[in-house]
Amino acid sequence: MNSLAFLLLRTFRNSLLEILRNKKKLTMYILFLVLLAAVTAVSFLPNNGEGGGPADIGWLTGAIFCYLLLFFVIAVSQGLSQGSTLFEMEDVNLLFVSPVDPRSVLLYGVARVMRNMALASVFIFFQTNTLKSFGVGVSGVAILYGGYLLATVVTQIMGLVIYSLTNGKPRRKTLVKALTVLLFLPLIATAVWQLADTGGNLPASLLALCKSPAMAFTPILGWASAGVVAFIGGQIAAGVLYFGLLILLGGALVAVIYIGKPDYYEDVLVASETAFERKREAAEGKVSLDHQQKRVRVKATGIGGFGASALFRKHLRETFRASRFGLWGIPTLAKAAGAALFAQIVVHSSDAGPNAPVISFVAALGIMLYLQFFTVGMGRGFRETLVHYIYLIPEPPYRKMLWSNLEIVIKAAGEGFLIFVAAGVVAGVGAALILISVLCYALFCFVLIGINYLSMRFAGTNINAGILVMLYMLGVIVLMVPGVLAAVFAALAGAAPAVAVGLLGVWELLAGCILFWASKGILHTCDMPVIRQFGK
Amino acid sequence: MITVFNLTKRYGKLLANDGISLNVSAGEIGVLLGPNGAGKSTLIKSICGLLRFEGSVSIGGHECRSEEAKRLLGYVPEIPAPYPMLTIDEHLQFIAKAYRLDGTWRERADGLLRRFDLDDKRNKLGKELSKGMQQKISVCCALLPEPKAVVFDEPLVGLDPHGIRELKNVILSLRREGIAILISTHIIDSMEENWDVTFIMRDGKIAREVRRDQAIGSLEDAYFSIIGDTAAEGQGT
Repeated sequence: MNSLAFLLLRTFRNSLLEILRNKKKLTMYILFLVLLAAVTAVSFLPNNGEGGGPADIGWLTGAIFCYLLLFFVIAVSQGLSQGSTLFEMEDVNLLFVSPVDPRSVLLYGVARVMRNMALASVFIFFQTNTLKSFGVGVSGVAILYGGYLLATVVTQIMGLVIYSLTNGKPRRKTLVKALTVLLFLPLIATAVWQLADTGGNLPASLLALCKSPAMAFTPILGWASAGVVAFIGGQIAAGVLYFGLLILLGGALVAVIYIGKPDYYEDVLVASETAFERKREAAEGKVSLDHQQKRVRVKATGIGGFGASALFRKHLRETFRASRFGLWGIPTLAKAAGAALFAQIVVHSSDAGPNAPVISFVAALGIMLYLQFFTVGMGRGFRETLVHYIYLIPEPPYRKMLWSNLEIVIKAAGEGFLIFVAAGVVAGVGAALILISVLCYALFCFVLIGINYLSMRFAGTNINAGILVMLYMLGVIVLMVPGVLAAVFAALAGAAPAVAVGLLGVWELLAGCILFWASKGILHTCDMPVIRQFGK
Repeated sequence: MITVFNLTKRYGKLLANDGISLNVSAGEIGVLLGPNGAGKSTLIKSICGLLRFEGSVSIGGHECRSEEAKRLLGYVPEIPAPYPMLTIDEHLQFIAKAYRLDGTWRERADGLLRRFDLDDKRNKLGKELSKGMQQKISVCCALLPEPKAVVFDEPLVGLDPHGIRELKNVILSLRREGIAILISTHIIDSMEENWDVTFIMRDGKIAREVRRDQAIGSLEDAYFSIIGDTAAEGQGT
């Protein structure tokens, strides 16, 4: 057997065997599959909501486009800075120095990325129920999975080509940046034209944009999103055209390196080394979100506070140094704008009912709580527990816990205020509902922090990140069920929306207090966690 | 000063430390030697109160997880972990504030920075530091509160020759000041001249405790007489 095929197949086989032999991993994967099956099964249940057909599938095109845009931007920026992560460090150390044809090694890299992306993209099936609202069945989700996989692999290869062509050549880098902007000009022009054409009707103009050829023919992103929607809609010829363009581009990009520049090893070295270094740091417990490459200018210095409060003052210093906007930067503004836009679209859509303002606002609250799960879950308070300092500071553990998390609670309260005032004003809901939603948002942060600490009592050291995230998510869901049920029953019984959301907030407060009480003394009586990578 | 009694640590079914007892007195340098996977790092982390364990560990007579013990203990981890967004100087400020140190800390901090060649790099961010500089700042943070016991986990790894010399000098001056020192290391040569008691670990146990006045031959001879030339290599625990 060819050495590269052997490597690819054998590593895959060994990974499978490792899962089968390791009870913890096996349990994790079984749990994952059960969850996946459950989510898929739920999608088969009939809708019992208010009437109305499925949402316009044009929105799905836009959603896929926006999601892929994220990968596109990352690939271009990586291509301009470090190259692509087609290869691992072990490939660099063993394969690159071996007498194997670099062209074959490149194909191996592409195949390896496809294999990894195929596994990593399975999360799309968790969206089966959401996609049902567009009238998309399980087969449609499978098509989306294929399109997403294809698009992400092509963007990876594009990153490598960009690096290969622009490395050490500033003028070419500028050219790539200009070309990237140029790529989106037709889309921007169409957006402006649609907005004018619909007389400033934002939802209508956005929908028209999503269905426009300008979006469909935007390379990679447009081809993938339009191709997926075309196949789902039964327009096979159009689907074949868009996916064909995507495959053609991928092939052309591989050909550029395959034919033109077999000496590409240097182009992937930096990215492979950087990725390896991050993995190594993560494996050693140095989980950090401060990996930004941009140069930070040190202006104001110094740390205030005394005793445990020095932790809070340190966090403020770190936050303001990382971003000039401090606690509430661009992500907060983006969330506020997103929530307001969401409310605007729902409230002014053609099939909006009389309850649309409250429904859109509460839905925005739900989405924001979901997002908070990730921001607080891996927030600074949690990261502080991964290094030794907080354990060794001679202060009472509860004081250290409180001061270490004060920053994130203040951030959540301020962020909640901005988000829900923006969404509330746009949706036209009452001030009471807005204020209670802000409280509910801040209190959810309190619950998440409590779960973080309590989990340390049970988790022990050497935690697998995959298991941790899954257990954490499960814990949050189980814990929030009583509060959500109370809110739903209150709403069904005719209580005002503010009262229903308020009940959820009361539950969060209660749950948060219990969690903190149960975590008493945890910083002096637990194992310092070391987070292992998913699957390691 | 550092007293460990019957310490046992399990990771699931793996017995990392098995009934370990040791004592390092004030003004003594204790050295922990052993092959990879012998349980040295686990023991060090347990002594510093970073892991749960069975048995007892006291620092200056205080249970190792108590605030009193934390005030007496300095810890230099194997993997230095500076805060990426804090400058070198702010690391020391943070320690001074968090440990509620009195007004004399600044003078000591300046001395430590000078000693480790970090004086002109005070405004460098943690994320900009090389591995060696990270290790140096880690040592400075551990020593700033004037601990009575210091635990070093592989302190010489990553340091340049100047850093190694300075750290050795620091360790000797700490000993002269009556501070108890426990050092885990793979580099036997580095501690050959300066040790008072050595604990040779194997399979999670202390296979032998050697006092300097009882030793026959070098530290290396003592080590290999216990471990042998073909000690099994395992994963660090």
